[in-house]
Amino acid sequence: MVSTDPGMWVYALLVIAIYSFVFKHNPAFRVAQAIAVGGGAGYALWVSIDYIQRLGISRVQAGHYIVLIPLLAGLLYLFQIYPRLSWLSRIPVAMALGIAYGTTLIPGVAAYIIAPITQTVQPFWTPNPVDNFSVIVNFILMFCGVAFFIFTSDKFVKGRYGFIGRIGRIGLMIAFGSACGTLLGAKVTTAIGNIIDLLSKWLGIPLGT
Amino acid sequence: MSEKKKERWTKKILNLDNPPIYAILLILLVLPLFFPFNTPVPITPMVKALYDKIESLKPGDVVLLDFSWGYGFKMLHEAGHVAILKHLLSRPGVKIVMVAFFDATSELSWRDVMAQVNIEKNYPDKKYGKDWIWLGYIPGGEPVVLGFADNPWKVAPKDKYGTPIEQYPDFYETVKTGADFALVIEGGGHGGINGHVTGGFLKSYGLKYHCWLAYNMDPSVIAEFYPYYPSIIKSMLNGNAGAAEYERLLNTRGRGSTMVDALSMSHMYAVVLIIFANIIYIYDRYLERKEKAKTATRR
Repeated sequence: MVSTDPGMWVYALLVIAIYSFVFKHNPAFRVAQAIAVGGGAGYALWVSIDYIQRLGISRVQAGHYIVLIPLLAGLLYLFQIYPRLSWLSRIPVAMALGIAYGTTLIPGVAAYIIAPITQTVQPFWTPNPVDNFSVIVNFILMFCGVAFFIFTSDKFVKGRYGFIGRIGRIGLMIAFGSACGTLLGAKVTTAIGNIIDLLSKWLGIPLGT
Repeated sequence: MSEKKKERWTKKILNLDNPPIYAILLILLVLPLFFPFNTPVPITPMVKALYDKIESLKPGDVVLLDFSWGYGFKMLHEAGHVAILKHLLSRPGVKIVMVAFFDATSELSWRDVMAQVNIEKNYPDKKYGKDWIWLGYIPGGEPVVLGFADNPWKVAPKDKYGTPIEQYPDFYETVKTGADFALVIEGGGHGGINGHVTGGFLKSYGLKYHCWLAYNMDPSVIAEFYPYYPSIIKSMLNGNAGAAEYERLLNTRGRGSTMVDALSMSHMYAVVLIIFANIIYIYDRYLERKEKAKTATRR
């Protein structure tokens, strides 16, 4: 049975309008796009106001005056709209960036430098020959990939060691190809989910099990 | 006009417009939804590890279940989280802290998962505040994720409904730092390993507190996480394929399994198109060389 929920009808019509772009750019797509962007921004604003009330203002009222600092810093963002005082909006930006870098820099070294290296350089003499092969290939591609970016002089690129860079380039192409393929798969998944919703929830067509 | 007539059939195929290609794709996606062919889904150790971990949870253990994906990505993560949450709720005495760090629409993602799991109806013995709590969306990105791991109730002193966490002693007393979570499941994987939420989870729960860390992953970035598996990240669900595996482990057939059928069709279609287009491309070049040779001979 076709859904009588107005929300489902709005969803269905917007989904169809968005996917109509695949065939041709049209006004229905543009309307749906504007609604998606506007609706998303409006919803984000509502959630943000709720969060400021819940964990900001109510905490100040409860006597946690330290929370006033981030609240006031947040207010300074609004000075963006006054050109003469817009420099004030740089203060919360600087605070946010400073705190973010300060808190994440040291753990970042462990997470993005040490951990990947220790995981990539693994012993290749385990009893499992497939694992060994995989470790060797990984190491070669990683080494050549890094070399491709570091040793960029003509001597290296065109010289007798040029094959290292070429192998690195092949490794990078494999990685980019794989990333592109999985991204495409992810987008198709979204399309399948939308089709399921349209068929089962909107049109009420029973799907096979 | 005469030039158009001379256009080779191979060129016509290579310059084919998108609509017919998408139309065939649409048919291929819809067909398995009505006539599922139950794609064999082998259970990988990556997914089995999470299942085993949840099976081994003891009463009183607290699990952190994160819903950090934007609403636009719900099709990638929803099936996996529904399966995981159902499994967690089926375990006696296991407590669940639900939270979202990604963006405001994460709350909608949470709402949809909860609608499918329907705790009140399907798990009537599981009570809010005793067995599970929802902290809502907490903005601030990575510094907040790191802060939450160090001192959860300082970053989130109240739940989504404004109740202080002190009023939930099962959670407030048990969890003092990230190390007290028996299991941490990040949902999303957005932005890859450098994503502000995923990176935060890796640094705090993975590297600092050495928690049992799992990801319900966006399949487009999973390759970035492989170097961390299995030493730091103990388990990863690869989008709907991972969800389908988890559903098989739970002996159910949910949305993940349904989607995997259609997804397999789309992948096969893509492979066929790539092979076909390459053959046509190579043949077109062959015909072009042949034509050039013919013209040269005539001259």
